Amino acid sequence: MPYEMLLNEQDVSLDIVARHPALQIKNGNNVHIIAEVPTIGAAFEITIDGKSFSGWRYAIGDEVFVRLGTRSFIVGLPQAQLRAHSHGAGHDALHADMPGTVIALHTEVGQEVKAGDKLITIESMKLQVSLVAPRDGVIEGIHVPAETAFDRGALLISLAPLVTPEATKAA
Amino acid sequence: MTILKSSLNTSSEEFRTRYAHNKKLVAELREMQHAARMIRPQRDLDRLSKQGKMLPRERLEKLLDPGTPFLEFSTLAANRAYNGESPSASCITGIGTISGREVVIHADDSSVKGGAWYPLTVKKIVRALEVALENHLPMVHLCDSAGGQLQLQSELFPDKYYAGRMFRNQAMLSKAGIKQLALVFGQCTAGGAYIPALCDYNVIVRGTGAVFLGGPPLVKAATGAIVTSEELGGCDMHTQVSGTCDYPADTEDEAIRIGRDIVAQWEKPKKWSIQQDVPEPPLYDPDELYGIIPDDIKKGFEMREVIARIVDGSRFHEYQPAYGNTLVCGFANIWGYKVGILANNGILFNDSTLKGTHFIELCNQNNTPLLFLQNITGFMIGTEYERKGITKDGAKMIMAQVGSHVPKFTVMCHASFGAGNYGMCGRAYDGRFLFTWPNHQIGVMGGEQAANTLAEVKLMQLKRNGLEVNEDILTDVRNQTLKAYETQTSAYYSTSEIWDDGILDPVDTRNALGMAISASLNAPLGDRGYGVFRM
Amino acid sequence: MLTKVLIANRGEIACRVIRTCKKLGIATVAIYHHEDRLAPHVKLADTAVQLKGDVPTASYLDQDQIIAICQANEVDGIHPGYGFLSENAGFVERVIAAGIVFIGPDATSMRLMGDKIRSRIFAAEHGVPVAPSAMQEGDLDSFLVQAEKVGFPLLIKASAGGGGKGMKIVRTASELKEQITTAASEAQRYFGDSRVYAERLVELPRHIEVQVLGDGDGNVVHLFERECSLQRRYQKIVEESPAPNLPTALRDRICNAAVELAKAAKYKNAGTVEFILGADGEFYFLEMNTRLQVEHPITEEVVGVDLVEAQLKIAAGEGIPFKQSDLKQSGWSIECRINAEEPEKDFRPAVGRIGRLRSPVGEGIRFDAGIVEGQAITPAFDSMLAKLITYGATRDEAAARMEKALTELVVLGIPNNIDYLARIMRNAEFLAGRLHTGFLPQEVENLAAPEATPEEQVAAVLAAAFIDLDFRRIAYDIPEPHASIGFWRN
Repeated sequence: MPYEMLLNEQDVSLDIVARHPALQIKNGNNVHIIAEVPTIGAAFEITIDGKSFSGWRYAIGDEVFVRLGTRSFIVGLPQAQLRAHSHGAGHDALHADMPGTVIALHTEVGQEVKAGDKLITIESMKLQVSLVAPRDGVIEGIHVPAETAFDRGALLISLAPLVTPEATKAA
Repeated sequence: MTILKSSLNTSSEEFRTRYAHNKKLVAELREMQHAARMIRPQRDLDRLSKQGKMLPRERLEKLLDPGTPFLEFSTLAANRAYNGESPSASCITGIGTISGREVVIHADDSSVKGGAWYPLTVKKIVRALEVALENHLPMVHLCDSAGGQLQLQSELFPDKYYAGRMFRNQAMLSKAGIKQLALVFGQCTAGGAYIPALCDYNVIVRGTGAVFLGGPPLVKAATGAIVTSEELGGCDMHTQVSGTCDYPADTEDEAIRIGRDIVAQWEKPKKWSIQQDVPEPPLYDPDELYGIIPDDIKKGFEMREVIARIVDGSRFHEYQPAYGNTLVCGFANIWGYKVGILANNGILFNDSTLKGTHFIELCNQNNTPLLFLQNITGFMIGTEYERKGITKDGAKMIMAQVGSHVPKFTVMCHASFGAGNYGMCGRAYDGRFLFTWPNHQIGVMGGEQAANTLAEVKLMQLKRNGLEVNEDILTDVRNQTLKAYETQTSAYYSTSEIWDDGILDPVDTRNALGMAISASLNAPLGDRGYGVFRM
Repeated sequence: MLTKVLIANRGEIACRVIRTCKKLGIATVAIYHHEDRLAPHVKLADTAVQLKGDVPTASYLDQDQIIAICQANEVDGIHPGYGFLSENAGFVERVIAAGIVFIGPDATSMRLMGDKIRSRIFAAEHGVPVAPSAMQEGDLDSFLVQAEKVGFPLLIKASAGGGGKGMKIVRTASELKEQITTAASEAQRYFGDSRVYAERLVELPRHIEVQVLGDGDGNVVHLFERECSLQRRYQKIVEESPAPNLPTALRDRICNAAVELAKAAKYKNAGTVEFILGADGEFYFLEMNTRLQVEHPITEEVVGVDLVEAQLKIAAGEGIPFKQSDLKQSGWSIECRINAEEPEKDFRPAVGRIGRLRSPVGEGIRFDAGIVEGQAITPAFDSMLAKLITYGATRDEAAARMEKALTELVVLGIPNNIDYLARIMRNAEFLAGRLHTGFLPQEVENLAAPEATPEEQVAAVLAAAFIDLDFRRIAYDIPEPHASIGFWRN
């Protein structure tokens, strides 16, 4: 499997072609001999075909901020690359883990939501819990209105895939 | 260890003839492998691409660590069965690394009849599970199969080593602490549903992955209910409601990433350590193997020339170099691993048999894996040898070999006829891996020998019954036997029936053995039996 | 002297004020919103008080709370920094009414200068040049005559409008009537009001400002000019002092005009008079900022004073601590504003976290920052993270030091403009000092990030890949003989 990443939002893939006697990595059609030079903390130094490149890096989530000379890059690790290509496709649904009552709805049908957006607040056994979107998508349906009780396992909110121009074309 | 000195004359007529012959065999092998792996009817490819599915080999390449080898098993399984309808027996199995861990992989091939299991598919998967069990290798299943071929159920359902054995082996793996992961890309129906269910971890792809005991058609037939595959056993149902599946994935790519990450969490095996040296390539070019292997099954050849092109630095410590010359025994390294090699250099006589037995005992005493290079037409027969106890000597060799606690590996180099196959760790002897060269032939005896034996039996039968001896009848018997043997002794028939773990291009032997030995070291050694009996 | 000062601000300016207070032995009180609880000004101050309130900016604007905190902590002076309450005359009055010294001008001059039209009339009355203009009072024909008197080139704008709609540039009298007619009809269409307004168009304008200090009794000194022409989205990003390619006589005229204005207003404490300077050498009053400016450090570097110290002394009634004749410009100073923004995406503000911060050090380098590693940068506040200031004997030296310092400055975890600023420091037109407010749009191609070489791209990708455990595993942690065999299929 090539190691697929994003470089400033563009797809880029690294393929390891050899490890002995030196690490060799293929990028596009070029094979480079790579060596890491030990550094401390956020600094890095890498030699590519014997030429040294050094700078600083910082990773947060699946993004790495890299500064090389006076040039900054944002590199997406494979998870970010995958996310960039998934467009929140596929159906999903929020089911109730326990019986309860809907306290508040924070979304409406047809709304585009991002993973982690608060969708609904429910109360069960004197405990209020907010449920968030499991991923990017569009609210397909709200199946229990506000201030209504529901049973365990009830379908609360269903999520349709985010329709992108590319997805439309593919279909 | 001495560096073997080759006496091969690479400019001889014989070398050139053999080279051309074997190159042609390998070209045929490669073409058949390519067809089995890659050639599919366009409509099947279209169907998969419409479902947004990758081909099984695309999945495999993404799952494996980049720039690492994959030792594929039995690529040509079922090549002589089912009118060629089941290339590679509709699945891929082999050993590779995922997240730096050696694993056995089994991938259903939904580009062949929806990935439905033929009897030989089941045999191939059971064998892969056996490899995992014997070598303590974690296993990753890439599930995408419509289930068993219903028309062939009697050949794949009821018996001990049929489909049930898959799930039995899965349970045994888990019990032994050997991890399993299933990536559910497509349907896992009926028994197939147990593959992800019996895995310690599983990932299911939303939209295409489905796991159920009875699919929508069966549910409709049995209960009249109409349900969609997604409702019945889809990703959200199993990951949110039933808990049958662990990780939901939006795409096959994501499933593979999650799968790689799961494997990365697994404890690293503590491998059994054997004598190891720094690996070095053979001094002689393995390409010259093509000029060594004869173009005729009846022609012998010098096994030391083969050893010189497989082992590290062509270095070989020969044991009892002056005794029992028809069996070459000695120590060598392959990819750094110390192995004890037993290679046939002719018929097994009493002395060579006893030498082999003794050497097997030495390897066990020394914790050295055994490598058998078979080119054996049998133990010597005849009054003199029976009087010398050739049968009991052969029994000794089998006893020592079966009782070995070290892993055993076998390469079928040219011929494997008769009881010699047993002594030299044939398929029945639980060698960890067995590979075949494309020129190889296997049978209880040679075709001509069998034809003559059966003609002889027929003659005696005719005489015993007082019937007229008709030459034509005997010729018929001879010809029929010869024809059957020609088909069934071929390496392709052998590999079709999964009597081996695949046909190897001879130049690939060293890599295949390196990976095989490495895999075998994951399992602990058994207990050593007796000390060394001098034979 | 004041004994305890509350800084009604946050970020780098709060830190800056605290530093001078400490130097002078004045106790400091910081205020902060929950979101800023880890910010350096909180740690730096002798006392830090958390503000109540959900909305961070609203908290820093909460006059009642701030005055109450002052009283509870026996604060005798408030330094407002810039932004927030710094130019709020009502706040000044409440502070004074509470018996606390406001470290800044009085409410009267703040009100005067805060009103664009009144300040402009005030400036004109006191002989400070303002851009000639004419407002349409009656019909079009009479306006035509007035407009022609303003002089060409002219900018015609809708009186009721904004956003450039209906704006026309007129270079000769012959096209005046036609353009005014068109502008008027467009104004009618867009704004329902056909009245238009004519103003002398200043071509290739420069933004020059003068730092002044007044004692409130009519004594005023200036601390020379600052060049602030490099702006994006009407906000400064690079400032320098002195202004390059500015003839001494013109500099004196501009500085004196600023002093005259401040004197006329009996201005107290620090202020800045902003001018537009045309390519023809004509300059016009723009506005006066009645506070300490973001870019004050370059004046401090070149003139060799501590402006906050001067502010504190003036506020304490000690008068201006120096005479005009004491003040000289020496050497050159440049300031770059380090912003959380994406220059490649029209300077869109960015959010994130200060994951790594490495400040440059060396001769002639000053880094005024209010950020620490680990701090979250939210959309709640301004996108400015820090200011980098360099000093050199010459402009070239200051620019070279800036370029080097920008190269050494590391802010990772949030998109920023550091590389863009470094490219400005290498830009030929910038180095030639040919500056005007349209400079950045004009140089947009020269300032674009050059395409990284394939090797640099590989290096960047690898730098990231090597901190990913999965990549390290596949690079270094493949068991033998698999690693040595490499890619192989049987």
